[in-house]
Amino acid sequence: MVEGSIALGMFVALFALVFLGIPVAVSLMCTAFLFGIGIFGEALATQIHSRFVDVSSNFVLAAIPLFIFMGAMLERSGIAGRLFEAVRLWLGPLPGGLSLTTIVMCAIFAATSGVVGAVEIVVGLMAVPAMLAAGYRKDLAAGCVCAGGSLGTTIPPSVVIIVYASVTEQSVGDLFAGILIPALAMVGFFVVYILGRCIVQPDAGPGLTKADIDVTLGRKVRVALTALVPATLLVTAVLGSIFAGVASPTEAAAVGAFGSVLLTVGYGRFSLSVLRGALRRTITITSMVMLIVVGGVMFASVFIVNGGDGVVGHVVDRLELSSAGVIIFFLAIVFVLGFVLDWISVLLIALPIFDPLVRAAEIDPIWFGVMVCIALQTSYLTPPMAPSIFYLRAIAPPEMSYADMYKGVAPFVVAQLLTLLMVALYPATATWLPDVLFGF
Amino acid sequence: MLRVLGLVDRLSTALASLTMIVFVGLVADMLYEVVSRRVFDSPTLWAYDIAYMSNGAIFMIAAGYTLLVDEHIRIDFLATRMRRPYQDAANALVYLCLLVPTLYFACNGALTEFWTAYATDELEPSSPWKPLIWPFYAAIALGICVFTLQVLAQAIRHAGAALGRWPSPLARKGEGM
Repeated sequence: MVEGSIALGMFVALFALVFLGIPVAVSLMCTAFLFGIGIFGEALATQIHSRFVDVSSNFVLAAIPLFIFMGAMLERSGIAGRLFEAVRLWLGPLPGGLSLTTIVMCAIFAATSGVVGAVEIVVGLMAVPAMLAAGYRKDLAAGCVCAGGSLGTTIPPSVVIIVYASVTEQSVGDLFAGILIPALAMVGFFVVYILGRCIVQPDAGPGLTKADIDVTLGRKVRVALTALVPATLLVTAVLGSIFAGVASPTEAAAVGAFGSVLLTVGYGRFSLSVLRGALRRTITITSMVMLIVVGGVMFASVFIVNGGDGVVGHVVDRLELSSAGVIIFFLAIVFVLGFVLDWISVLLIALPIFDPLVRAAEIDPIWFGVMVCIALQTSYLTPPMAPSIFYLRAIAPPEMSYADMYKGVAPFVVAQLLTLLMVALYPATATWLPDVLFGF
Repeated sequence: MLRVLGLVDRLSTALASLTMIVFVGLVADMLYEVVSRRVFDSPTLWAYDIAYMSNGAIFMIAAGYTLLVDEHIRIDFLATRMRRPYQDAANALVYLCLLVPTLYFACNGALTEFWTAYATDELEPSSPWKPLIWPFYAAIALGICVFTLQVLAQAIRHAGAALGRWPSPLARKGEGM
């Protein structure tokens, strides 16, 4: 019982610091220190240092700065505008055409970039004004930008998955492959909702008229080629080489980083100040992410030394959960933690505790990992504490209210829960592709 | 006082610029390995070690600068409802009473491990290349020490802002380089 109260105390201390507005990485480290000093005493110095070294020595995590750079460079390459135009010309005339364009474009962008949040801002800045000008309902415009932006969490390459893989010592390639089909199914659900709603309710999102997209077929093809071909090549080079087993994720990420520079040069947007801007963003985001990883590892190890994992195991035992019950219990915790913490902290706090129990219950770790990532993504989108809505608020015009946004994301949250249900009921949706590609 | 703090800022910023160069090196290192292994069928012994060491050096050495530009993520939806001086006071107190002692242990550990590795010519234990490990430990120690300096600087700034003397560092989000 004493052990349980210490472990509980760690969470109280952590949340107190986090809600005081202290940086998350700092809150994690300080809590670990506070509850670790009594146990380790002078040996704490070596303990802390070895956590820094462990995280710094992780080859898989070296993919993170590379994927962040790739995204940062592509944001500056002007490819977003080209993709939007290219997809708009083809999908624009359909019911809800601009919303479909937004979703498809976000999916492509998410496949070239591992960063969450950045995609939403880049796409939102173009798509929101375009949709509002075309008379789209504000809730639909808000919903599809938030939902599209959230795809960065799941569609590989995703930094979320790299961190997940490194914490649970799984293969990044397996997890990338595992989440691909569910992520595509999710995009499919989004598309079905937008099409369905705009067919039933045509004024919610009118398709573009001929006059709106008065261009020749030749131009349509040309715009598509200059925008889609380079993006597709980049995606194929990065994901293809991982799936084909040709390169490790870190190597593939370096190829992607280099490719993003070539693409920016090709589009005539490259300059030293653009490069510097992308590099600056790369090092600060990398440092932010990795320091949370260090803090999370410190927190988790002190939590475990204080018997915290035993407490969670005990709770699971007492509840006499079946393996389905264990999964639902853990996903619910991830979902709720995702409201109040950033995704990296959620993974680093929850996984070291859950992972051994998940393995002990003989739950397929890839299947479970895919569900955790979808739950995190849903938590990212679910009001009222949704980062996706905060990002949109920062760029949306004042006439788009929070009510519009809450109403707008609701159907997309349902679509994500449907995806989660699909994966839960049919584990093969997550495990089949990694099996085929990498074989067990 | 502010001038001394400015020196710390300049040190963090200069080192952050250095990590950008290290990052370019990381890309080159991985590309070299891919081409060397796939095209010329001769994998290098060293690319793997260089890659993880670069990543470690990048994020540790840039940690101070990232704190300076306030890009270590905060969950501030509750905190921003407090008046700014209270937010500054909270940051100053936590930095000084909890984070500085934590980092004191971290610096202590990092410098000791670096010195031991240097004095004993310790080799990377798990690599076939077996490089000396002290340059990597030196980078980690440098990063932790610079981060600690920047934490002290920010703590003093927060304290000053809480007392109404200086502008709050919380206001200077995302400053350019």
